[in-house]
Amino acid sequence: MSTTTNKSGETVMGNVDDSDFHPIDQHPAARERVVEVSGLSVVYGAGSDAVHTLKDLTFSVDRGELLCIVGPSGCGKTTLLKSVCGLLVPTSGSVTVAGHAVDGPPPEVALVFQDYTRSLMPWKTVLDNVIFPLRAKRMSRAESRSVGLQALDQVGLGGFESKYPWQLSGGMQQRVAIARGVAYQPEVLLMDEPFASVDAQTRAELEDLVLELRRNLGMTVIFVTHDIDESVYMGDRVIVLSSRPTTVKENLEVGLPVPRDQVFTKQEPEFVRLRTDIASSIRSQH
Amino acid sequence: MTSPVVLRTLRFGTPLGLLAFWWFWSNGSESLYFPPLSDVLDRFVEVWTGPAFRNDLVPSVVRFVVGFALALIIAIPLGTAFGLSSRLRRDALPLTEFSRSLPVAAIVPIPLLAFGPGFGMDVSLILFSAIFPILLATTDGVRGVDPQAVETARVYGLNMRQVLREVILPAAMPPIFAGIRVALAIGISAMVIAGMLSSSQGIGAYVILAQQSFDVLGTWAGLVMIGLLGIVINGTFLLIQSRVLAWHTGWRRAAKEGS
Repeated sequence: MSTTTNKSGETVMGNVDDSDFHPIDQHPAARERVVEVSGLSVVYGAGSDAVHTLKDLTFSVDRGELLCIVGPSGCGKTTLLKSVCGLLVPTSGSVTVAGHAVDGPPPEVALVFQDYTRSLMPWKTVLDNVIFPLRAKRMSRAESRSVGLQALDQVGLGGFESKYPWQLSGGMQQRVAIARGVAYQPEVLLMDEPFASVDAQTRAELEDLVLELRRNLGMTVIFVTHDIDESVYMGDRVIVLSSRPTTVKENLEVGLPVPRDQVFTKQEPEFVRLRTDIASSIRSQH
Repeated sequence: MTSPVVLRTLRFGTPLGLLAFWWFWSNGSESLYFPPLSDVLDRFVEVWTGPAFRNDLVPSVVRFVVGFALALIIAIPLGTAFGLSSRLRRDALPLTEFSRSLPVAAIVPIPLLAFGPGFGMDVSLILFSAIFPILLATTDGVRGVDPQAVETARVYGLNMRQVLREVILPAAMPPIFAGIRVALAIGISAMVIAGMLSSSQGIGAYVILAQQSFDVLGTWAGLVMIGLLGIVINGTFLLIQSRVLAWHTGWRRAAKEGS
């Protein structure tokens, strides 16, 4: 694919009529920016050994939006998420969440990691894994328990609260991690390639689960993935990152109707067009 | 594959078989040094229901418990600090490496001079010998905690103290328990050696005294008690471990089946 195709794709994107585009019904006119990333650069090392991982990254996320971030492997997607959730101090630039500059883990942000075996604690039961952040915030045992049980219900794990994570299948373990994110009641839920280690069938179920949760709870979600189809299927908007040093290469609105459907959405001409655009954009940088 | 029934038979049958062998082999023995087991057991009951119970067994057990508890109280926080700070670890390394290379017997003169024979000396020897395996295991255990588990807890708003309590210490528990198990064995020998080398009280002192007065049956009765004490201490440890690390057993089994 050539850059020309890519450019024509962008032009088409620019012409998308706002009237065909329904991002989230609950939040019509109000476009409040809940996450703002501006001029973000991360450099590992110094001098001639310096590795520029992120270079002058700028984008923002509206309240209630589901933003997918897609890019070639090793492009620093995880570094970007770590900067947003305060685990990593950027070399320059800034991240603002809900109006506050990030200088440590912001209380408004929850994160679902790719590898559930490493982010779930094997010595805690399913319920304790979900509610230990609430307990750390001094929520009472009874209240955190009821919040936790409700979150487990919402991800379809009612009745599994006293199991240990390692007694569950991979997909169910990732549901526990999602329940923990939901129970924390964040304004922004970050997901770092959350379904990369489950099988295709489970993956489709979990994608729909996240879309449903997002619809019901009105959460803002930043969803990082290396899977182009997944990014178009899930997102209200897709940001395509370049390879290192990483910059924002494309910023595409997804004009697909909601609710999405695993079979029919993926047959829409708009879906096919977007995935082609993104694929050629990613391929053109090699 | 060996069936569980065979394994269980071996596990309980072997010690019972050895005991039976000892019993029949020594039965009617005329040897001065290897008296019949039946005589040893008679003497065992006689000795440990007598004044030696209060004068030797109880002090040994008390000193062991105090020394070992001190080792735990010092080694686990210190090891955690070493595990968290590479600088502290590097700075303390020469001292810990030197100290843990010293055999218990070699350092006896120092507490002997400092405290004189008795409680203080025995406790400090047990403490000194038990502290290093726990210290090293805790250091390695804390260092080995998956950084992603810590990151998860930090994103979810836990402060450093909460991360330590909720994530780092539970995750480091399996290696810490392995270290404690090693320390128990060394601590028991320190307890016996301390008595044998200097003390007038304690189970080690009882055995040495019996041996020096050619009381062969008494010597054997003391040895049997030391063995029994080891079994009881180890059994208590395993019981606590199976409670605290119940998740670990299940988790390891699940990991094995999954792979």
